[in-house]
Amino acid sequence: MSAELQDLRSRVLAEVRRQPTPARPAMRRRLLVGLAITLVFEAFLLVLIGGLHAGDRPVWLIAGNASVAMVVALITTWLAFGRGRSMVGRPRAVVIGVAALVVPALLASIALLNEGTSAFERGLPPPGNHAQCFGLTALFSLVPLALLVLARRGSDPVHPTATGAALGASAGAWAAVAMAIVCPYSEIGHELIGHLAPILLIVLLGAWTGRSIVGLGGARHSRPRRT
Amino acid sequence: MPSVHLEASTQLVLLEELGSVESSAADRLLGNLFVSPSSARWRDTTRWVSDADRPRLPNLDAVASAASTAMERYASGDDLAFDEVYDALAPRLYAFVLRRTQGNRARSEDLVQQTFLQMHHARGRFTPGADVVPWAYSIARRLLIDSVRRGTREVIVEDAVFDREVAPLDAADDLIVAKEMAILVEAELARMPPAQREAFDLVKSEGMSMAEAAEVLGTTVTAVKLRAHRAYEAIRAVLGGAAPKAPSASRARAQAAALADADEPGDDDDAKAGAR
Repeated sequence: MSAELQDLRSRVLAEVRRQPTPARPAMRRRLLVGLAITLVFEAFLLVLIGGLHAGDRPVWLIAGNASVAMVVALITTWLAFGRGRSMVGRPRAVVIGVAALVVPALLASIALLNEGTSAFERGLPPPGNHAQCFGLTALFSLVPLALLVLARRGSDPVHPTATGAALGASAGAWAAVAMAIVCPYSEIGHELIGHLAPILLIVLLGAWTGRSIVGLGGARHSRPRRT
Repeated sequence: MPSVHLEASTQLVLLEELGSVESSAADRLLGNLFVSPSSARWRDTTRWVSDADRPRLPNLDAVASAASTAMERYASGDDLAFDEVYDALAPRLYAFVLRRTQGNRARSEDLVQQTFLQMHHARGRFTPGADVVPWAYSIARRLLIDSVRRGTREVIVEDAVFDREVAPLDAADDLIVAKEMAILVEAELARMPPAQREAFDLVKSEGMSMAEAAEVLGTTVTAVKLRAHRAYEAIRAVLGGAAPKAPSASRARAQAAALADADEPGDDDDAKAGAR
């Protein structure tokens, strides 16, 4: 090793000793704590707004909507948050695909499951319900998004904006699970305005936070010093 | 004035690859310098380029294995394992960054230092069994792109690089021919889309597999194959086509600079910045 690399070695290792970071077991514990906080918050929110609002929906429809949304959420989380066996993450096309397809997937599942049911045909709810559901979907998405983005902080050197957008889509899909339980309306117009439009907003928010937090600049450490 | 230089490793690759160009104009361009790809002189010359001039870098597979094992131990809690990660990766990573900063040692050291600190901070998130090399290269590449965007790029025209790399050749004619060939390739590399140039560089110069290069660039293996192949074909075509009347060194250098200045439509900003 050349003299300059030896000199650099001493500088790098000095910085590493100066800024200790948690090893994998500690990070796993942190992630579990974050997950627990998120679940408690979501459950608290669900209870706060009255839990299940079945309306005239049969149980199978509620369970079907929630299950399909959960499958979408699990797949998107696996694709967006997981990195496979690579530290760099999945290819750009995959994460962009996740961000772009989650809303059409949810819309298609809602349309297919609910078509012909009384919930689907009862017409648009009052306009106030659109805004209420819009706000609730956004609220249900925010904490999962925060968890996902913080857990991936400073970790994506290749396409952090796309990864952030995919994480946003994933958080939005989890919110769709909650909304399938609390909202008795399944009319497509309401679904688009009240349930799916906020997911698009969360995708955009995810893209923005991805750029600033998931990218390398998001890692919280001081700039290295030259000695 | 922006300019680029053709590093020794790329020259080596080209000299080796030209061996597969059958009775092409590129062979005539090489003239008596490389009589035949299989001749002793060819082998001697390539050995000179690779062994005497290039920095001695550890084999990439050995680096990958050692670095990944050490990083896994570091992620699991062995605080001293990061020293081994550094020892395995630093020489190749430094050479990689040094070429992209046009030989700016201070900036290269800063970028390598930041790369290792980023890896250190990702310690707890290290995926078991993941390959460290593409990850480290992708971090270094991103930091380089960011530093270019911050406007810290320093352009260094390094004519001396050519002199240093080619000087030991015996004949002055050979020197001129080699220089002109290098300038042609340099111009072609500067002209081609950055995405192709990066793929070519990672695969040919860094010796990465297609999968590793795809990881670094955040794209698919197929895309990397396509880009590297197109880059290779472009270089082969320009060498073959220009051989009968190779331009003078000064004219080709001016052409290279002009081409490097030109806009490169159709490529994303990252690729442009990363390729500079």
